[in-house]
Amino acid sequence: MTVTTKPTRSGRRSLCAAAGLSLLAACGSIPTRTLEIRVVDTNEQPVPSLVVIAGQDWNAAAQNKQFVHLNHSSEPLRLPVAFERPEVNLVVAAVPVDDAGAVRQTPRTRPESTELTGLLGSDRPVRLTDPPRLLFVLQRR
Amino acid sequence: MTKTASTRSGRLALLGLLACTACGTSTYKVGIAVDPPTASIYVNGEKVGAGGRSVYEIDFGVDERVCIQAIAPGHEPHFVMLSKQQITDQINQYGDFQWTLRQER
Repeated sequence: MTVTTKPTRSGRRSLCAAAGLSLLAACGSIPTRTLEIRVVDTNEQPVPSLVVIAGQDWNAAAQNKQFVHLNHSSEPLRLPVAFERPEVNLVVAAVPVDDAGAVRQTPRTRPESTELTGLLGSDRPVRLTDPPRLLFVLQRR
Repeated sequence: MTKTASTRSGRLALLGLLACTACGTSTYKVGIAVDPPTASIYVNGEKVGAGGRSVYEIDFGVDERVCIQAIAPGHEPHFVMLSKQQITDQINQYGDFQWTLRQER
């Protein structure tokens, strides 16, 4: 049995407002794409790392848990990225981990990451129309 | 009779070629040779083979560029982002992509 109810005038007004807002959001929204990020060294071994979007604060990236390959995981980081510009620069920096693979210390800069891990950071400009799977390769200092 | 049949098959082949062009193919056969031959080749983050010389089918899908990487222990990794035009130009002008990875300092 199907029950249909006729919307009241105020209900109809709310629906119209919601539809208008959705339309507005769709027209003016910033395109977002979820990127799959993996990080390896030149021996193709996963490297626990922090991924920072250009302009983003490193602390904010850490608080947002933008880490990859922690706890000996080889799974990629799935990171939604808003493309406010045609190209967004991504920075990847290795993080020091304990035996369990948990972060010992979060670096705040690329030189600090190199100092703590011996690995050089890497960065790459990414376009909305680029492939969403990214592999970063970090070199030894 | 034979002449008509050959003309018809010729027309069909031409139609097939035109259809391929109209579709705007997104798959390219690309020869890649990397030194050292033990290097791993990655396309769009997925391992597709090893160095030496191999021909890879590279599918752009809906993307405008592809990412090709070569990695070998003790060597600096190689990384390029290529558009369809860049791949076409390379194939027409030089043939294979040939990269020699520099040893890490």
